[in-house]
Amino acid sequence: MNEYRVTDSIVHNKKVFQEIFSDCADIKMVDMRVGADKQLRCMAAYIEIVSGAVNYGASEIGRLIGFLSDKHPDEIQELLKVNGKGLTDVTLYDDLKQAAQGLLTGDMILFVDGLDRVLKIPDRGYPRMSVQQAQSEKVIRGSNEGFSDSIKANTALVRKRLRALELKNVETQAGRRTATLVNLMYMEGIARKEVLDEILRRLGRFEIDGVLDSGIIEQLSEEHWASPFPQFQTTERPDRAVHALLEGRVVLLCDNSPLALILPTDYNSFLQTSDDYYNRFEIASLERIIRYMAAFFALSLPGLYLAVINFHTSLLPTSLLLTFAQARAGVPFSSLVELLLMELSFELLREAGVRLPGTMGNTIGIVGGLIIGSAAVEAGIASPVVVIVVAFTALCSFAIPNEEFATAFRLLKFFLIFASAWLGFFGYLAGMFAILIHLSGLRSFGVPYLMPFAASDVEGDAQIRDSIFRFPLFLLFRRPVYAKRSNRVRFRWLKEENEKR
Amino acid sequence: MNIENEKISGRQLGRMVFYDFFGLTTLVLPGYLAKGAGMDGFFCLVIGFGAGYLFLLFVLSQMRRMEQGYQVYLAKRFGNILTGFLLFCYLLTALFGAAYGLRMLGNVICKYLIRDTSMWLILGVLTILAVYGLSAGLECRGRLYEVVFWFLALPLIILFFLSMFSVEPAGWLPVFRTGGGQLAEGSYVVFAFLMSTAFLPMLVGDIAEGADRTRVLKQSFALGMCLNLALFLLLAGIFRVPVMAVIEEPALTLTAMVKMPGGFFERQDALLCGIWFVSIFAFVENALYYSVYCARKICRKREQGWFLFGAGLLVYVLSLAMHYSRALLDTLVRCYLLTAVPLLVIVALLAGILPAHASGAWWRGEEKSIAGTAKREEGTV
Repeated sequence: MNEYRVTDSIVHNKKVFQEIFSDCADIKMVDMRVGADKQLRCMAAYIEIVSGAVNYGASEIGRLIGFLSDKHPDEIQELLKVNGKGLTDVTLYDDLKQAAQGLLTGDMILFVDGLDRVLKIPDRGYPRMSVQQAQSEKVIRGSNEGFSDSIKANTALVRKRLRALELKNVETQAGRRTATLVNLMYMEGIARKEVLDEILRRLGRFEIDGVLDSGIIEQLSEEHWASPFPQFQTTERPDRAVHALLEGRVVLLCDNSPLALILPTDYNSFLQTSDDYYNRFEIASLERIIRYMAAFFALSLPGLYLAVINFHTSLLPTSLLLTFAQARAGVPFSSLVELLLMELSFELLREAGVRLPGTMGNTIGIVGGLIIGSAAVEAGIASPVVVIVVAFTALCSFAIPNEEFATAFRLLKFFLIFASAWLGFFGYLAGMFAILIHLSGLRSFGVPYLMPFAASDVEGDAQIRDSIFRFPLFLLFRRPVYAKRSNRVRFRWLKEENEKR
Repeated sequence: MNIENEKISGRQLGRMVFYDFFGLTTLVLPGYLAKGAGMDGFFCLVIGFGAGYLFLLFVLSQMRRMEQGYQVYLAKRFGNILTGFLLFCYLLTALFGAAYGLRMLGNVICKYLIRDTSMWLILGVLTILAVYGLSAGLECRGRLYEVVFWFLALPLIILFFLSMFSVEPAGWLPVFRTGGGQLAEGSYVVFAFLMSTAFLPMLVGDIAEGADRTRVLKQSFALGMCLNLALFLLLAGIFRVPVMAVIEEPALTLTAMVKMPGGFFERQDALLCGIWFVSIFAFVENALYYSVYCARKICRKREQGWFLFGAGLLVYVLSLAMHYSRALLDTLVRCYLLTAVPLLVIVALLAGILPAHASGAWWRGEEKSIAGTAKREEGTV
């Protein structure tokens, strides 16, 4: 016989439950008596803080107890079995282990004497942050709402914006010990079934003790684990997630994580922002061009500087060359060491800025940069040109809208620095080529990373309209390659307007 | 998944092959033709490219009959043993092509980018990069060259546009001063530089269904031809033919002379060198790919790992040897011009004319072994 089976004896059930939660000071078990003449023995088990408003009418359990207060014990058992009070989200368990798992989701478990079931009744739930402002994906135009730590709140934020019957939400769990909820949201009829199957397959191929953030799922589900480039797009903006859903992509939400994962993705998607679609196409295109240039300089500028300064000085006009030489006069280090020192200082400042609290972090970023830069120049450790190069590179990396993507550029920048310092422009070209070869081979759930710049002719080149240039919205009438081939149209003029045009 | 088919699209094929018709030709031919045929080098280009175009059309017409692969197509016409020998000849030619291209690229880098660096290092880096590119697969290379195309095309257009203003048409005269022999020799050399066309059938199984390979290959060839002709006219109009004849790579010298507006760069030869870097590198990779293809087919193996490593090593050693021994280089070039080119043309023509009389099943055996491997792998998992 299963020792965890719920029996009609509350004493036995309580004993087993206490054994399960032995040495758990935060799990409270409160005995009570309900019904007419207070004859029926009950017990409520809950996590301290998470639940506990038993006596107040404000909670579901409080209302339930109030409702049962004048009922006969037999009637109470019948009513509870059929959810006679009509409580929302009540679950009946006949296994105490499962009931214990239910309690750990933040709900209250109600034991009733004589009833061979226990009830999970929703309550306040775990403490959580409310809906926050998006921190890392700020926009000038558009909603500022960001995802929170609660997966339920996050799915609701998506539903709030996408009230379509086709929006589906597949729920699964990850983490053997943490039992973290993972939701996969997609638009039925638009998203490719293979992508959904593939992510479910990847989620099912590993077992881990704990999933504390979507980042863990991301790393364990990536196809190319050694690549510095992210193969999932992250966002903390519900509107961005909805945009992705409408493009036929799948959105993965993980409990306790304010970042949603979007899949598949490509290089181009990382340089797009939400307000690209809210602003006029001219300004959106200009911003996109700037971002593409920023990505290029964030990767290349220090390497190119070293190549020119060390190997190809003939490229520069004499006056500029003299200025460079004058600026470097008195600097005791080689240009590579000088550049690395300044790059590492800026990386250090960035790291310190992130770890320090709010305003202090911002201050240290700006002030530290200025102070260290000017102090280094005055002390003769670095030339002003290097400070400009490093500062401009840092600025460019900030212009990349996605932090994970920008990190790849920051990392590969050092690779190009060493290649250029060693072999000049040849080293730069070879390094750049190696990166491009890597990018060309990279895929995210079957979609080439360099879409739509590569392989887009297979799909009719429609996606190129939403890349470096953002065409007017009415010309972006086709969904990108992520969507099912049979459901690509996302915009059309209505008949009368079409005839006019 | 949706685009994981290990095949290249029509545009990728066109762009990948374009570099074969552009890189080495624009680097070597203007100087060589100016030296041998003077201004009539222009007509050598026209005749050579014309002949190359006809050969391309012939190869394309035959590609429709190669659905089971080039080796099966050859085996049906020449038998198993002769096909093995022919594939070996193709292998040697491709290895020579890759090594020659690598040596040229190394020379350009040594001359225009890093003067005091040893050749073994430069060629080593290039070989490693080429092997890395090939190991990533054909689909990856297709994407790579599709993407870098505009990075090349834009500076090239700017270069052509800016240098146009320095052209003096008087430099294009006199013409028809060369004898028929020199004209024929020049045209033949131009044709020989376009022999990568003979290797195109090796890509037949790697092109996505529905891709219009005939159209894209014709376009790539035509673009390569136009750029070669335009560059020759530009160089002759700016440098004059006698000067062109003594400069080794006039196209690269031109890049050093063009003044960019804005005055930020004094000269940009180092930057524009990137155009030829990419083009010749693509040529080297293609040649290396063909050599690995031939080696794999001869040994009837599917995996390319060791073949790639071996081919890379051979190409590296050969290119180094060609760099340090001018005599070896001249001998190999002569062998290529007098033996390999005629052989490639004759094989292609004969294969087109001869009827298919054998089954070619032995060469299809490789497919059986692939299926066997897959089954075994399935069992172990």
